[in-house]
Amino acid sequence: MLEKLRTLTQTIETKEDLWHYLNIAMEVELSTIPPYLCALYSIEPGSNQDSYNIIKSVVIEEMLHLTLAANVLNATGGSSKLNEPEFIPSYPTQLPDSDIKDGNGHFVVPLQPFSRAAIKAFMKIEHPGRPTDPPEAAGWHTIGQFYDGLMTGLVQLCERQSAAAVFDGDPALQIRPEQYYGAEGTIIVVTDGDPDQRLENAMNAMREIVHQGEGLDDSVFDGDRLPAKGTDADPVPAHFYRFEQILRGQYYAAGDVRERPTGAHFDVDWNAAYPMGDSPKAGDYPVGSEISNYLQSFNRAYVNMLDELQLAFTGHPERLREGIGRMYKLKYEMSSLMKIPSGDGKTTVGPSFQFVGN
Amino acid sequence: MTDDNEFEYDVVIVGAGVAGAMVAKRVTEGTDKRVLILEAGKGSGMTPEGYRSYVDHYYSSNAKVPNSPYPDNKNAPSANVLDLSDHDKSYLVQKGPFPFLSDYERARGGTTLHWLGTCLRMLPNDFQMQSKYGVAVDWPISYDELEPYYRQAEFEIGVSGDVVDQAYPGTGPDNCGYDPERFFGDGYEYPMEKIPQSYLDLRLAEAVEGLQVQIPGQSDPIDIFVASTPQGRNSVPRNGYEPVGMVGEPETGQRCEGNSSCTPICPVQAKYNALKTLNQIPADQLTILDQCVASTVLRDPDTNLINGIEYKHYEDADAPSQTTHVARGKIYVLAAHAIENAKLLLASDVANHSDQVGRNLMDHLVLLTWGLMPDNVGSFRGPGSTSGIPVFRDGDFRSDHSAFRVEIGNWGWNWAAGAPVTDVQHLVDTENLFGAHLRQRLAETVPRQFRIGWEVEQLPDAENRVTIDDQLLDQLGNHRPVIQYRVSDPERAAAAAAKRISDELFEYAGIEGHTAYDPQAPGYFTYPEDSGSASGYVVNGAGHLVGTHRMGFTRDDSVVDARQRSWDHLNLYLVGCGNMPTLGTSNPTLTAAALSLWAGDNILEDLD
Repeated sequence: MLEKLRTLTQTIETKEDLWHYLNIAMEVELSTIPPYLCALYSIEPGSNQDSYNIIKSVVIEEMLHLTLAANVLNATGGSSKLNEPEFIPSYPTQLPDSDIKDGNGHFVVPLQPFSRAAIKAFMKIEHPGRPTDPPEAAGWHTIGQFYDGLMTGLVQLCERQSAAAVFDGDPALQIRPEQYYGAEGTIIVVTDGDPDQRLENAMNAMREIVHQGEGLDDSVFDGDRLPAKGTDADPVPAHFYRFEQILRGQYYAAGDVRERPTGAHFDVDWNAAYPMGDSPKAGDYPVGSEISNYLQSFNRAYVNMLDELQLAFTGHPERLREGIGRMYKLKYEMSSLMKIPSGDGKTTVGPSFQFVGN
Repeated sequence: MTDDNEFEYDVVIVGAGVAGAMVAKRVTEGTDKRVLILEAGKGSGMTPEGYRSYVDHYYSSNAKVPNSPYPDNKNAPSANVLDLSDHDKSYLVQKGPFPFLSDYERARGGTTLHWLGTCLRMLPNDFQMQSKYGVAVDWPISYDELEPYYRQAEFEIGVSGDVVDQAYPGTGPDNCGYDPERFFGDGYEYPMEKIPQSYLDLRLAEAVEGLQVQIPGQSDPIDIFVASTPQGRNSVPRNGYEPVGMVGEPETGQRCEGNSSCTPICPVQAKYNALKTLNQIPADQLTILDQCVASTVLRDPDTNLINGIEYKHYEDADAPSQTTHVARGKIYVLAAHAIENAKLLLASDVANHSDQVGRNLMDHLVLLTWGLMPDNVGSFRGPGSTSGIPVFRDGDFRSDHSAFRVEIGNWGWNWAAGAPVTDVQHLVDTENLFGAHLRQRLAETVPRQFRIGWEVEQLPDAENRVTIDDQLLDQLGNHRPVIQYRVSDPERAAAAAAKRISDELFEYAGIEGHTAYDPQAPGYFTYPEDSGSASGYVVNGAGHLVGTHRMGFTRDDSVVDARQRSWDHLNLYLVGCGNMPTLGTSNPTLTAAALSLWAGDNILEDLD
């Protein structure tokens, strides 16, 4: 993942460059999901309900980010590559590190169970850019800076080529708002309106991704977040702070500033998690063994789900429902894998999220 | 808890179920009115933790009956279908001759905690059975007058359905044809798209293609087809409608996700329950007092107005210790469901000039037929029912025998035979299977299991009634409902007709029938065949209790007027299923909700 980010050109000169950036954006979003899911489904059922709900809400919003990026890509005439082997992340993966003191400039994200280490890794993934950081050409400090670079590049491309030439994608490919549910945020139909409006829609889509993830400048909350439905009016913190709540065992309340939550406390039981092994692979187990077969069956289900999403993003938006059905199937398989002993007397197998061909 | 003796609310409501919630919401929306709701049971469902404790209780219950998630409460007992054979344990005192087979739930949220969610409207002729068919009685209101409230109720509940699928006899004029503009009003669509029909529905639809049947009392044959059922369950929204999820955790339950336990509980609250409506009422306008059982409606002898509701508050559901209080309001509303409303009125000796309080108790008698489909149809998946065969809901035959609604069940022989648990028991105990053989046999049959529910309309019968007996009290000292009940020829004839049609349908569709009626079952009865011999049938209760304080044209033969206000006490409203003079063939919750919203408007008129 990291290497790919570092290969990106400095400017977006052509639509092909733009599409490449957007495909990378989709891969970045996708790459966060397996680690979050491993933490989520390693939580023992009946425990850690607050942490479970927090992580689940972030996962659903990452799916939204994936969809927003797909809508921008489709609106500019590009195509996603969600189920192609070179775009499916493998684990452990490397992402740009916001803290570059150690000189490496990156950090490792494995597949691991719910733990302090996992939550800290998630916070690094979502870490907000420092407000004074300019978008940098190479060596992105944060994913937010990557999107800043993408947005700047998109505006410049439109100035060079015209918004109409850039946003010539087919509206029928857009995923629509009523297909998204279960967490904060809303799908933006990028192709609505004239070309200048389409550029604005695309910028809003990318801002929504950044604000949901990292927050808005100093604020713990992502911008003009609408109150949750029902009569509860607590705004929802950006992902970085949402994860921080788990480390602290305390919610942020409306009006709070960073590092000073005043909301309700909740219990976190770090021991109530299945001890999944670090970034398992089907190849860790003998070919033809029960566990290896089970892992490959899971991997096939994972790729099938990506196939459905790919179909949904490339002209069959109604397939999103099938994709969601397959996500539930993945959930059951992940839960089973979390409980199977790996044989080393300490860990369980857990899912491997590897590409398998048909 | 606070002692609110001195404060006079605008409206005092007894019962925090769907009827009470709809009244409370209507009366407070955009107004300055203040409402008190007295709820006999507990309010646990209002928080995600409390609600999840219901789910856990359900998972650990041995018998997954409708009230299994909701712990027994000796101070606000609920009827339980398990007690039909145990008269000592039963909360309902069953005088017979036929057992009253249904249950209801006393807790905040009421019976909508365990309802399936089916939201069918009544048909125009259901409101004029006497004029049209010479049976039962007419309502003092028409379908057309109630129609705008059906729409409002469908939006308050959040109903998923497609108008285009609701094309069947009874929705058009003269029982034929389909007139969506008449039945639903111009351009109407449900707030959410229909819940996808199950694979089983689609296979059955193919299998009954071209089938026509005869029904006694009607000369024209009837075409059989399968239609999707509108239901209060979250699906893809239309036109900016925002689905309402779990109370306290709104992003959960935004869509049905196929937990397949709707009755008795939806683990994620994708299904509507009245807690959602209660949750939408501003806190400064609504006070809910749980664990407060209304015991007497107090009447001022000089004015004949109601001047208070006496209620008993308990801390511990298992202990009888209690404190007594009085709630006061300008308007009083009883919304405790058909049996409890009647019981309370009788105990208070009010509102009964007509002698109809408690009378005309009706239910749907559900005849189940079941069998095995030729192939695996993926039984036990999805909501309990996503489609029905709606062709027997109305027709000339209603002069002859009852109408019935046909519900296609997705959960195999669950209701009919306790499957799949009983399948395992049988294969282990009787056939001595275990291991791979056991799994294989289960895999060969359980996914093919199929059942239909033939829900027979019961007509009003003054001898079907709720009464009270001062010797028969619950732990708190309130009366237990004493039920006299029978099933009459119009219903028995309809059940027999339904069985014959079921047999025809099974044969036509290639379904291997396995229906068997146990003479020991509480709902067993016989009905003569044309041949002279009698066949046995077993019916079950649908949980659709209505009629016990019906509305009508005069104060001599009905309890409330067309505005749902007591004829006898001008500041007393009765709401809910008890107001319904006939039941029709639809699950009554939607109708009760529509009526309750209308009652709310009427109450606001009275207050201003």
